[in-house]
Amino acid sequence: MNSSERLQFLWQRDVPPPSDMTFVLATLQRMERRRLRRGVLSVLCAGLISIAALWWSAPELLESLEPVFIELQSAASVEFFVATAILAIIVLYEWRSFR
Amino acid sequence: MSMNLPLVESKCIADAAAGSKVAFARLVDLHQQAVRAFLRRLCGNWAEADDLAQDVFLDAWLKLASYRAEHPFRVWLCAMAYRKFLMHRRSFWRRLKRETAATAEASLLEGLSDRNAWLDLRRAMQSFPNEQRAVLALCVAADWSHSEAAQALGLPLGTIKSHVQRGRIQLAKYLIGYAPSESKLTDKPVSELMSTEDE
Repeated sequence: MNSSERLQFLWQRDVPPPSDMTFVLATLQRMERRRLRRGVLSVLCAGLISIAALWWSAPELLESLEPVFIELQSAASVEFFVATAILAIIVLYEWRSFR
Repeated sequence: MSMNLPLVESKCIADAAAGSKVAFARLVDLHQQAVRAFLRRLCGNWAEADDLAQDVFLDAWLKLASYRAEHPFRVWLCAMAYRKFLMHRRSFWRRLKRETAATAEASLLEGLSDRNAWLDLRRAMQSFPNEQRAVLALCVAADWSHSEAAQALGLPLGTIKSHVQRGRIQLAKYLIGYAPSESKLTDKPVSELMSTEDE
């Protein structure tokens, strides 16, 4: 075996199989994770921007909503809403991944 | 009857650009071998290379609409892979992660026949500048034409030719008179050999 053939032989070690479904599926799952992350981030950003805009243009509207927030907090509903939101994100992710 | 491969590819590109995930999965499957092999030879670390390859395909998905058929699709993908590799090398935290992964990967190689020769080849590749390593990975290891490599790496044809010529000579020095299963370059432990060297 000459040096050129030997080089080719050694380089073949770096070549993955021609078809690798594990890699393909891992790539698609990563794509879904990235899309979901972007989706969640954009929803959060949109929410924050809306609140900031509302606070700037109509502060009295936010003040009028304050009793509702206090009511929700006293009824221990905040935890329930947060848990529901997390569950919804997980379900959405799983649904998109295996669609 | 099987369809012509370029036809299958162009249909997959069109469908994937229109949003079909199935077509995109087919494209990934068609080209993962070339992209991963290229990055493995560039990085000298399989885990890092496969991670980068996934990133390349994700970027490709986002930029599919900008792909023009004047270059082959694999050239377009490898051009993106090379740019991503260069950006990746600049990050300190990723370098730290890469070195940790290299140590983990080294243990998998124990007992592999010709392991030392292969590690020496990787070590030799890592000693070259990024540009020359990329040229060798495409033109010498993967048998790409010089013009294809010039398109993918954005280098003049003359530079590609001189890198190939000099690289062949340098690589041959590592292999001439090589005794199988015996490292000619060093007696360092595998984990140390596996860690990549940055220029």
